[in-house]
Amino acid sequence: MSTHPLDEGLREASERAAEVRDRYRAATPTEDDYADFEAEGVLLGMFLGEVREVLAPLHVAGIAFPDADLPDELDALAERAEAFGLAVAVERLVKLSRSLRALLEARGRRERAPWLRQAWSEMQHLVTWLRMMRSECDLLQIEGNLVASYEGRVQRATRGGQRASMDVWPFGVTVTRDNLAMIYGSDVESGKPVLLKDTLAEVNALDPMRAPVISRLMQDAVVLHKALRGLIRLSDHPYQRAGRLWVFTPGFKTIARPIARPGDVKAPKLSELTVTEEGVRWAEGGGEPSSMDIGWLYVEPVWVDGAVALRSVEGREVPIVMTRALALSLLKLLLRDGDDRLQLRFVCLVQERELYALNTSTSMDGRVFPSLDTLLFREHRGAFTARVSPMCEAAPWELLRLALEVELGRLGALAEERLAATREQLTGLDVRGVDRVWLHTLASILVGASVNLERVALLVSDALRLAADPSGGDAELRERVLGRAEGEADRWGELLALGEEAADDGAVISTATLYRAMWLESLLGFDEERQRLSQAILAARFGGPLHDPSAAEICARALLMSAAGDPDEAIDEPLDDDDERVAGLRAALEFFEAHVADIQPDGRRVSAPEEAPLSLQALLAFCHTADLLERRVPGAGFTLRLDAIPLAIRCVTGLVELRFGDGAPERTPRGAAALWEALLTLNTSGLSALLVE
Amino acid sequence: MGEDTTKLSKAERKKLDRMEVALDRIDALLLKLGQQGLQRMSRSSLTELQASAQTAHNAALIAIERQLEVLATLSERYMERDPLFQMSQYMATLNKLWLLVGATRRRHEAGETPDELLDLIGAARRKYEVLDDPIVVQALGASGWVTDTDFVGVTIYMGVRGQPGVIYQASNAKPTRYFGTDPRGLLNQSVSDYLPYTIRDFAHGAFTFSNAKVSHDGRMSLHKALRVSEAPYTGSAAYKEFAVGRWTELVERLRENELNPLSGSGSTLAYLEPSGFGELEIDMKSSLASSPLLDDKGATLMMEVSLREENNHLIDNLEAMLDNRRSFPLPAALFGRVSVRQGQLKLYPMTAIYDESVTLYRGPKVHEVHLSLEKIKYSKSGVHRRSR
Repeated sequence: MSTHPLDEGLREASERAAEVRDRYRAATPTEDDYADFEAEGVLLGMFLGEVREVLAPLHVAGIAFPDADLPDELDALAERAEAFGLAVAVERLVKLSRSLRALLEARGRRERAPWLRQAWSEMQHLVTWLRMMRSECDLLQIEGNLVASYEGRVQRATRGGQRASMDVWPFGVTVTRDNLAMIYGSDVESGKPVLLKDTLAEVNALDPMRAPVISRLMQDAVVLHKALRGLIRLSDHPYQRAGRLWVFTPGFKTIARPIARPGDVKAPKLSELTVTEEGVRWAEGGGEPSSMDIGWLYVEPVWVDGAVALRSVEGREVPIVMTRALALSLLKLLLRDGDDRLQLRFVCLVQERELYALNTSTSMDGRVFPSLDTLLFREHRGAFTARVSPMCEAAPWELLRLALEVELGRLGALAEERLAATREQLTGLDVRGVDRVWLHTLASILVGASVNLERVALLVSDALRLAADPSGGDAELRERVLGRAEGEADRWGELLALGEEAADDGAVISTATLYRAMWLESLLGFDEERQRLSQAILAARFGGPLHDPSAAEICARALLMSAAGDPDEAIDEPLDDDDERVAGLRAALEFFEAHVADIQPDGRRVSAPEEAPLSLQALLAFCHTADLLERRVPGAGFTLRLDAIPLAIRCVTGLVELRFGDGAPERTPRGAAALWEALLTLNTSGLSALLVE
Repeated sequence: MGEDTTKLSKAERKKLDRMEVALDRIDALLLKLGQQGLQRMSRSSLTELQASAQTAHNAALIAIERQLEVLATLSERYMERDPLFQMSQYMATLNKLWLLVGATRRRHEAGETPDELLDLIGAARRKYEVLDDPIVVQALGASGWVTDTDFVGVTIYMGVRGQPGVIYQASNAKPTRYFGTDPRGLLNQSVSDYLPYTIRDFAHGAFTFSNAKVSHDGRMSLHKALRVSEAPYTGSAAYKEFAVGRWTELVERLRENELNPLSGSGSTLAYLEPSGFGELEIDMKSSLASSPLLDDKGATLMMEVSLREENNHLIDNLEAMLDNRRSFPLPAALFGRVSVRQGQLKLYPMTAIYDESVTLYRGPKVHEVHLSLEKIKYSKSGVHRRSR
């Protein structure tokens, strides 16, 4: 491509600007250089100002109407440009001057036209040069002016508050619902009481202490359990005083760093607290501690009226803040060490008239933070199963016992031959009806026994036909589906009740049974007839929106939608590789997600109640359905956020009842069912981490 | 470069034809404006400029369209004797247009296709590219704005961890008809329909973005597939690449854009820690609020904000900050845009930054206060001392 005069002009202007820069400044300018820039820059700036003063009226009056003196003015400027050594400016000024002179002398439109174009072009070339020189000159002048205005060192207008450096021994932490963390500790050297206020993010409600959280104070992802077992180093960190407390908040330029605790650092000395009839007092002197004081006392966890309580060594009730994690921790501790009298040294924060357990230590676990740590004092699976398994020998329900054994087997207690025997036993069982077949199939899958899918497929088709038939089907069909003859009592009802929907809507096949049929259906491959029946049931039974739905209704409908693959429910933008069926599956997942989000206390859409309002059976159904849908829908990122801490407490409570409760609950179906539920739910909801290998 | 135009599709050939016609028309219009001068400018000239902008748009000459719109605005200001009119700005815009038309014409004549000309002619709609790896971003500054086309919005400037000097912008715009003309009203709005964060959340803190889409000019798309989670906030470390010790360093930064008359915004984003703050002066004649900022050697940089409705809250904050009121302590640093105007360094401040966190009015405790969007909750126990 040939070089255009315009490009040439631009290049020249650029090079010239660079030359000027080089001339006016050294590679590393000194203050003297800046003074030169200022002096010479002022002269250059004045010259550029004059060029601009000539060009501006030309833009106002128009190039077609130049002042008669303008060419002479431009010539004069060209001479001065030459004196400055600005060759490009000389050339442009002269050319513009010539064009304007010719334009002024030209007569008639035709004669003026080429000169007009020429002058316009020359003027723009000159403006381009002027812009670039102006900006370079401005920068040079600014640099010079800035340095010329130096007045010596100026004191900072803003000074932060006081700053301090120290290594903090953290006693423990409290975390509010807004994830505001208060770390209580003391300066290792002086013993000053310290409060570190932090804002946490990405807190795992199930496991706030051991899962990484994002700390504003430490400006990093940290594991609180680890950070609090070491020291926290503060370097020149701003602080404020609140009474005796030294309060540190997240800094902008300073970071609190967790460091390992050197072996020679001793734990700060704390005073002993005691519980008297008047309340919490210092052991020495008997004075009343103030809020935010920290001390220690011995406590004993005991089992009282079906709940765990803390007693002082003297047997007085300790006014402790019983967080969910602390309750769970104590339950587990009782499970683990329940045969001995337990005595723990709790380091506590005084909160008005109550105590908050900051930390405690055991020989097995070291220093731990029981008020927030959900993974403390974990039960060893071997010991656990060895203890629980014999209790279920006398359970009257054969299938239930088998299922329980399967669960225990999954936890690692059953020897291989016992598992094989269980498989054989399961395979040989003759079970009838959707409910029994569901449990049998579930148990078979868990233990690895074969499942007769042909038989399951027939039963599922029968169940769907019965559910889709408004007349209620014939007696034979009903008996096949329900597994019992007309009038026969349903002994499974209580045991297998799904949450709150025990009282059904009078349909022949209950929603709970329908859910189980759909669960079984999910094991089977695609079948047009079942798809058609699913669509018919959806239309007949789930036509409108759900009002206050039960767990079974939500799960059954979601599974029906996924089986029906209803394209009308398709989302707006299916994935590229989606067909209608996949779109229907995604719709099912979205329906399920929306309803579960309304029900579960996830902290965002509904206020979280103290206890999860769902039965373990309902949670189990949600877990299974979520799992099924998620596996069937490509790319689904659904996470069932269970409020697992109360759930875990209930699970462990069930186990504790078996261990310590009166009346041998393990001898009753309800007690065994509670245990079975507890185990299944622990596994399904991923909480089996509460147990260790 | 320079594909054989016979290989182009019919639509592309049509586009090139339209471009050629548009360039001729705009060239002729510029010549006419140059010949007649500003003083002979009439309403019909403005209409002609606006029509040319439309012609440029139809010919996909987006950069030229925008400059024509600027030229129309400047010409209108001149006709209305608006004190905001600046002759140098008019001359520079006209010159930039002339250069753009000339450069586009030559590259077009050399056989470049519209796609190859994109760097020069711009694109009507931004093209976003998906980033393969997740990025961690931290809000450095934010400002609210209102457009002439009746949109109110907030733009958040985000530094990218591990990519020194890179800033991505995330914007949220809403029609003023439904959301009013105060960008502060948007702070508690969801940042997009697909993310569980408010604009205020994004404006304070650090986040990991997966599946992020970014345009070549650093705009982020808050699209449906974007996944966001919180990341560690790193305070001053995020500003490190934008920090300027003395004002002479700002000049160096501005030079980087200087040598190309077609590109270069002539401004730079910077983090400044002034050693001294002057009084805020309001000049009604030039419609400017300004205050000098001193570096540690006493050199002066002017903080300057034009008196426009959308800047009212920003100016109120500056007044409170510089008027020795305890309700708004002096910040440790300012983040904003620095440019050269009228031979002086000017800072347009976006965000005031505090070493110790401050509590926002109806908001959280933060280190950065976005001056056009937020204000500090009054506190009797202000610990900030001041000296001028």
